[in-house]
Amino acid sequence: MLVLTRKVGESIAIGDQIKIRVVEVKGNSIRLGIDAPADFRIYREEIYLKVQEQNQLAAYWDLADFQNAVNMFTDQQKELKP
Amino acid sequence: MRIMTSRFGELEIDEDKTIEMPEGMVGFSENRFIILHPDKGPFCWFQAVDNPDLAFVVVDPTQFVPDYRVKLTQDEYDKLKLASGDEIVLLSVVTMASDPRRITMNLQGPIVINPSGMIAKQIVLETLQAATRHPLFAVSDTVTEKATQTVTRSAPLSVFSSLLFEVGLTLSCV
Repeated sequence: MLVLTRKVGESIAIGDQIKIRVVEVKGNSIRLGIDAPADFRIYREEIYLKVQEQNQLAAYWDLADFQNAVNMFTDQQKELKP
Repeated sequence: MRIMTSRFGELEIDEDKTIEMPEGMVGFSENRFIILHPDKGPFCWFQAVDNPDLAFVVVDPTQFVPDYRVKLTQDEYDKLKLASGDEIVLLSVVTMASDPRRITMNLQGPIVINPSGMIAKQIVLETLQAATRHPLFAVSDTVTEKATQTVTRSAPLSVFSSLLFEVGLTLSCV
């Protein structure tokens, strides 16, 4: 891994199109400003991990819970449209 | 074509209803899915064609959060083989719970489908508030404001009946 030291206000360029600037340092948090073309999907790594974890959880379910949910939904619809 | 599923038994499906997912669901390697549509309720199943055990419960998120939008990047457009003006279909993965009030849908990782190309990709949204565990049955105002990134026309899943494979699994409702 390439490790570089930067001060507040300084940047790192990745290729011609991406620039990451250190905007602010507060305690152990660092605010970064990212300039990149709109066709780059940028997200905090933990969000990707959260989606992955949620997928794992979602893959386990049973039909009884499913039927419960469908019942609840149809009941709600009935209440909305009496 | 015949596929095996652990929950719905053996199904005879049309090959043109299979959806290619070259990158799979985040954290999973299966690449072909089919949308199974039960005769009742808002949910569908996103069943892996090549793994009988893998089926996600999914919903059309716009049914619960009407102004839910996603903005695709050019890279995603290309991967989904979308042409400009093409419509997409969005699905949210549902996490079931025995108490229906604790059922959640994942607004931060929607499945985007190109319904004419039958290609799908799960994308990860960096929206500060979009939730991976958004309660399905209690939509509050603060929540509807969440995942509003702009544009990319999406159509309700129900418009694309060609995507759906009706399953004769009759749900017994109390």
